[in-house]
Amino acid sequence: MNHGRRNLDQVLDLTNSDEEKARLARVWRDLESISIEEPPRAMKGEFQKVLRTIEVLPQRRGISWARAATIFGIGLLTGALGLSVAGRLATTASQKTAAPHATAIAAALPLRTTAQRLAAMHVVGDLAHTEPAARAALIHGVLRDPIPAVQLAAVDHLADLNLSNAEIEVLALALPELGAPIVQVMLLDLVTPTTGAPVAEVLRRLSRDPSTDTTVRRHADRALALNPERNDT
Amino acid sequence: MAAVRSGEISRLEELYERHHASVYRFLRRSSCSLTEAEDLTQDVFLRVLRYRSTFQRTHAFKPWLFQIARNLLIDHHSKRRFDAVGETEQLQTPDLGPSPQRALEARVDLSRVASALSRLSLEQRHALLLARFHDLSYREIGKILDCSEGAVKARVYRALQTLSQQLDEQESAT
Repeated sequence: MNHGRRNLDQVLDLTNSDEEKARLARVWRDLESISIEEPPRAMKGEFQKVLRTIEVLPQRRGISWARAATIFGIGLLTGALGLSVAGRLATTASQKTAAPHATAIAAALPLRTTAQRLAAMHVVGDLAHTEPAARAALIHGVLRDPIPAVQLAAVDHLADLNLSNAEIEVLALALPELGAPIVQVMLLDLVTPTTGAPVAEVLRRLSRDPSTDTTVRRHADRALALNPERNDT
Repeated sequence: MAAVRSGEISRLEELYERHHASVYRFLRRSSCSLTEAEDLTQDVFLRVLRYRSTFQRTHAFKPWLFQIARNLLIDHHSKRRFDAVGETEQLQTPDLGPSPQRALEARVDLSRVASALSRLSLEQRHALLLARFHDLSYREIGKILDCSEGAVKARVYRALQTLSQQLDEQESAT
């Protein structure tokens, strides 16, 4: 017996009246008339399109202490450098000038494989509650890592932190430059609760730009709708 | 889901493949238009990805998934007011066979039931839809709705009573 039938029987047990049992059972049966069409096929394609921006990942495994320590050191290095990148982004709002530095940082790091950088993000993420440099390393991961899965891992960890408005602004300003729609969507969720003219301006630009992915535009619209004060220009 | 939680994000596609139709139907029956149901279904799975680290490996995936869907739906409802008549018009009729007379009767019947359903409170409507269409136990539905098994049963009971009453009233009015 499936749950549906069992569920009906349990509800019918709540009444002693045979007449009421029959009435309720009839309504239960009549609900079947609300037949719903199959989901449109295009819907699945849309979702696959968003998912396709993520590379197939190796399984996340436990990290040995020695490796964790190495990764921690490298994470902090990344963080210190990332902080300067993030700071530059925030103060000059010129992301393009920071790009060559970030590329140089990435090239200098021994963590060249996705699996290594992903593992590093998780270690750094665990440290970010107490280490400012680790926070900056996460921001750097979102802004500069070329692999969406690593960016997503960084976004995940940032979501667990109480980000300052300045940090959120840095992330929001980078939104239009991020290549993967799925990272943009996740990041939009992160910046949505924050008000502020620069963030609002980025959201408006995303929402109006026809070249932006439709899901990203929808989320930007929603973020604006959730904060009506952002819509005042 | 355990694989997705562990970092194999591409496996989300399998979860989508397996469950998206069920989520879509739940949203449609909960008075969402076609477009809203499409958008919200996608959002449900993006939230699965977003909150994957909060999934408890020892728990079943389906109740967790529907909990996300329901929370999204509540957010959505709080932002928009639905026109009950408009909603029922957007629900499609079942495969009715060749008889036009039968088709007309069934369309009228569908409209009545869907209209009555859309007038239930969200709590009752969700309890009833989950119990009726999604092969979930009352215990699992309780987790989704954040209430006890007994409370779910009571909601379904009251929902059926209300529907029965409304359908009787509609019948006597015609």
